[in-house]
Amino acid sequence: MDKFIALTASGIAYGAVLTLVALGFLVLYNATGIVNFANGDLVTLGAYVGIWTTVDLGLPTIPSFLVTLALMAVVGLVLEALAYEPLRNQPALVAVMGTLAAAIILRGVIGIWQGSTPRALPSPVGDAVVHIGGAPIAGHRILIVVVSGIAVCLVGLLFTRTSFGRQLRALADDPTTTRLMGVRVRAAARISFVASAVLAGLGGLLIAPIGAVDLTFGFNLMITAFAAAILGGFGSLRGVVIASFVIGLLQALVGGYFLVGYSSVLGAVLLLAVLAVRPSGLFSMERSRL
Amino acid sequence: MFTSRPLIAASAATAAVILLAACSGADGSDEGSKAQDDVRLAFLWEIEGESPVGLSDFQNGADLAIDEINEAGGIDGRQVTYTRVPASPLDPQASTAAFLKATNDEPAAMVGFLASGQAVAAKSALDRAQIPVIGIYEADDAVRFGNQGSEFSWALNGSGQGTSLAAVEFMTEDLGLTSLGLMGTNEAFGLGQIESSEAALDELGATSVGTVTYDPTATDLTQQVLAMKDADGVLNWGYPNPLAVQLKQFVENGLTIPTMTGASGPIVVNAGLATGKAIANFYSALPCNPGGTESAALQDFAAAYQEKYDASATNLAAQAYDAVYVAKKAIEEAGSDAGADVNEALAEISVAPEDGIVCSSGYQADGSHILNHEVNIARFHADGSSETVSTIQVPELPVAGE
Repeated sequence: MDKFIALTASGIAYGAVLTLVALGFLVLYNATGIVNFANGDLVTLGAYVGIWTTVDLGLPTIPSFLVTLALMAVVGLVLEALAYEPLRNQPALVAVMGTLAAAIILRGVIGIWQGSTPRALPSPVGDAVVHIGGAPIAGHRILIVVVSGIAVCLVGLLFTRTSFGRQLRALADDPTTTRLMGVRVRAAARISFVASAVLAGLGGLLIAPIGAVDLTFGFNLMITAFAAAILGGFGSLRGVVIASFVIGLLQALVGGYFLVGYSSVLGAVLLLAVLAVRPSGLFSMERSRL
Repeated sequence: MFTSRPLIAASAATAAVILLAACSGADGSDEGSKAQDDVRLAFLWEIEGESPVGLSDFQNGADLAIDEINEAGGIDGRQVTYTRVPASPLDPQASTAAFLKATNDEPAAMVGFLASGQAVAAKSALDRAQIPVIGIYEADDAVRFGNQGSEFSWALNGSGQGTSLAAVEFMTEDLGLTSLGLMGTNEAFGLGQIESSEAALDELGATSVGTVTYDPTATDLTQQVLAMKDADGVLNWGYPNPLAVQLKQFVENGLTIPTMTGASGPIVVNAGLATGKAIANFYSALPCNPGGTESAALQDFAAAYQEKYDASATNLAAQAYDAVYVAKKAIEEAGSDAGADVNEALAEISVAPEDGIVCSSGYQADGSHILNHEVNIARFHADGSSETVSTIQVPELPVAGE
């Protein structure tokens, strides 16, 4: 039983971080129609900026995290200005290639700034361990779930209770009509890039203390989060959250009991299976209901 | 129109790129003052800033050796100069191009290639150029002479097989453990090391309580750690990041059993990826451990390195240092700086500490072109310090296939 609890806790924590990164995909896709393949490197950058503010500058945890997220917001704005805006009127594929180029540049810049030696970000809760049903659960995993939960609630409020949220839902539902109605598309794109970068940065900050950070740190997370976004129908907040936790738990439990060592492929297997049966994703009916 | 502005701009940009590439041979390499009677070497590695994985440790260690050799009169009275050509361990094809570029200078020997895959990819080029390359990597089966390794390719660090054997021998005979768990990455490096560890366990009569693999980028090893609960000790053949995850998750799960790894160990500890209790029972099987040695020569090297670079010497720097001294001995024995003669000498020579090396009690090539047959076991402490607790001799390997 304690094995089941430990694996479940691990799956939930991973699903929580996946949710943040997948929401970054979702927000940007709905506002701009493009998939941002720099998301993984934004996760990596968030982790490295967190190490810089916490370890190198010695800031306390909360100010350090806030400064990191503020810097990630600036990075989001820069990314929008350099990698998206000049290509906005080009076919979507060109803009997607722009994000790929941005990813490569971002990785190079991080490499020059931080070098190639892996680095560590200490957890705000240290080595704390909580025992649940006899299973030891790292305090940091609980922190991940709590902070991600708060972030997801805030994103939900942003979508449902603000003018930006209404504009975003309108853009997702009918981009052409929404533009004709006078919605400021550039502003929506900017806010989406900022939100996406901040969510990716938060994901990096939360997952970094579990292991170590290097230049490829965010790549796998991005791929799995992309799978979660597709599974969720690429239009539904609730769908993406559920899909992220399904993948997290699938990897932890099926991987833990039957496929130890190869659990990372399970998200991709699930994605292919769902696409074969329901190409629009599991929750595509809710596409316009962010 | 055919001669449109974009076409002209593209042509100009292409010409500029070609011009820059042509000039990069002169500007992109570190060269000492070159004279006709100098002994020339070439180094095949990147330094920090040239790529995300570039490290300056190799160059620093080699520079230290070159300075010492030249101060002591050079090789047979001739000064040593070198060319460095960046060769990425992540790009074997580009590494072959780097090797070919380095041959322009007709060096007596080259030092470099930091991954065995580079040497395998460059086999034909090495065979044609007939210039020996002393690689600073742990030799896997593919790079052994007789398999896909060139007659001109030499591995300084020993073999992966030897490292596994020494690690298992230490765990079973020195620590007295009988039930070991095996962990490793689910790709060539991890699987190869797991396979040779299983063979070593059989040979030494120990039991494996289970083998688990993981993705090289894993950030959660809950499944794998839970599978190790019945083991007396664990051998983990992984890269620094997942290794740090395993060590931390052992602490979370109350596991205090010893963990043994390979060259990733010092990186985990020195970069602070795992600290305190997580590294209190942590060992590493290494070709060299300048951080925790009782060897006076290695301590002197570490002190000189610290003084020159204001940084702690790593095993990578010490190995590059030794590789230069191995090349020096081979050139002296050959009595010539023709690559083919130096290569013949490399097959015959024994390089001892009095020849200037610091990592090993001796380098001597075996049939597989592996030069080192000694593995140091380093034990790390919770405060991040380390000590070499054992030095194990491992068998020489014949020409692969014999």
